[in-house]
Amino acid sequence: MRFAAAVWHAIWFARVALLPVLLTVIIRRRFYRCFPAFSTYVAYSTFAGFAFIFLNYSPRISGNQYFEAYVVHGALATILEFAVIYGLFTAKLRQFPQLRAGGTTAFRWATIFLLMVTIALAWLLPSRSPFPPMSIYQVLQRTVDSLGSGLLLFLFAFFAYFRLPWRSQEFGIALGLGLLVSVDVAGMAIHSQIDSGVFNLYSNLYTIFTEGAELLSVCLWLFYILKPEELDSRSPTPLPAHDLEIWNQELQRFLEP
Amino acid sequence: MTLSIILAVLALGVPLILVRLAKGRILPTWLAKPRSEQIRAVDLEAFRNLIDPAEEEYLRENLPPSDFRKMQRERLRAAVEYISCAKNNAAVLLHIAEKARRSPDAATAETAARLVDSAVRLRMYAFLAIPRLYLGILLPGRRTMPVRVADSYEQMTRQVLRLGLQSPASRVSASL
Repeated sequence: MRFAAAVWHAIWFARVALLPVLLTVIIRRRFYRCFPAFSTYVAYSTFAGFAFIFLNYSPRISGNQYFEAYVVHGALATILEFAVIYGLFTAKLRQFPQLRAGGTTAFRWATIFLLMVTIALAWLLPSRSPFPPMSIYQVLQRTVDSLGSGLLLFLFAFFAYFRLPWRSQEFGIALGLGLLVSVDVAGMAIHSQIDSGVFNLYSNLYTIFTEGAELLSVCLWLFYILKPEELDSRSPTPLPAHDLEIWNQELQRFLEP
Repeated sequence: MTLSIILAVLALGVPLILVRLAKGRILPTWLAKPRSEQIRAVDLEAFRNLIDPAEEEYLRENLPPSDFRKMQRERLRAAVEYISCAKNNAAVLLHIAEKARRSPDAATAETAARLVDSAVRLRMYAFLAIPRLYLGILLPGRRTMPVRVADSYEQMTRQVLRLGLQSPASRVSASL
């Protein structure tokens, strides 16, 4: 159990150490111009990462105070996550303005539908934590993360239907966030059923699982932001002569009334 | 607990589904794969005939009800096939047009942008039209006229030809 605790602490510190690197890259590459919501989310996560290390080791902070700060952080991080998802969606709609009206309507309906599903899940799957505030937090967090996961699925399915391409950075942001929220949903779904309210091997494994996903997300974001956006330099394939003839025939057919 | 396990498994599948949905469509890899050979010919006149309300009325008046329903189901199934084919062509054309949209030549880029617009709209209309046709298959007496799809397809085809004139980069119109 001590080893498991050491592992998740190491993962936690690694993530907190990587976040300022990610933020620096975002600022230096002026990435915030294209993705303001994501940049704000990273800036906030960086601040929160260091703040929680301080809160964790400060002797003046009680367990309840830490939990209260954690709940406030969860709410803020969730709002920013939804802002990132919506920001990605609107950024893609700006590239294809003909989809704006239909896409916005579809996004609203998808949100309403997912909200109903996640509320039903919250009702069907209450937490078994013996600590009532934690129980409420777990159900709320699982609900909003499920909604986030669902919205990301909608986003990908919507653009997949229209066969529209993803810029690699957009894809990286969405994938990292998808990994983060879906692992949170999975972890919280199990943890809320077996949480005994004390630190044990299961709670340590759960923390390794979620912290590992957060670290992986940060690595994914770094990878996709640092990866240069290559331009396709290949020239178009030259057309064979017989194709040109068919082109002419088709033109004739269309030009004659 | 069972429901929790199901939820956890489904949630863990989400990143894999995201990767699957975006597979092959991440720039610049996406642009590097010309696929004009995947375009299939679509007989627009035959499609128009299938969804022609006058033709439908004629069949309704001249065939016994059971024969009409059977015939109408067949016609609507064929119309779904035509729209699906046009929808797939639109996807391929969109792919080609996206590449042309990055062309330094302003005219080519503009025509390509219009083609992207048409292709996207066609897929949107197809998304709305196909369920209506399936509803018609379930209830063959119901009228279904996704004429806008036909119009959009025709418009898109014209734009491909114009694009081809400005930039001899694809063999698209060969199949159209």
